[in-house]
Amino acid sequence: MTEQKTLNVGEAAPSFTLKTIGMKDVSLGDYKGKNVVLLFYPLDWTPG
Amino acid sequence: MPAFDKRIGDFEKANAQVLGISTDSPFSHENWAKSVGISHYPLLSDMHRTVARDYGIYNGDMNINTRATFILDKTGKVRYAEKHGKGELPDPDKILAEVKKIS
Repeated sequence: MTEQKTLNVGEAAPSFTLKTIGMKDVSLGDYKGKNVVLLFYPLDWTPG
Repeated sequence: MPAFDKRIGDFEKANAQVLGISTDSPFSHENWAKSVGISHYPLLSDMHRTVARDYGIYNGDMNINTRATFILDKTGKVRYAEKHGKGELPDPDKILAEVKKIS
């Protein structure tokens, strides 16, 4: 597995556009002017 | 994460948008969200694993992302980053306290 560097405090968060329920697009840029909490979790049906 | 769904009002008061991200499809998200009670924040599908790679939390062995929490400020800068170990879940109180530090 290639070594990867986790994004660090102080760095600019990479933008993204992903599908959500109902196949609607959600972009990070939709939330300009707000703080954003990104909760990455391994899979649906896992604890959490 | 139903624990965050229940606290979404507190995050809104702190001007924070919560987003859940995994590598599952929107169809899987829909079933899971209904099953566990997540209805107040979006679940996003990183099906191509591009976001997991961009944020440096891609688990190639499992072809999924690892569990991690990032807090971004209004300008899109990372202000908090935490990788969670096996069996560890993000704590809404702790994350909310971190958000309030930057609000």
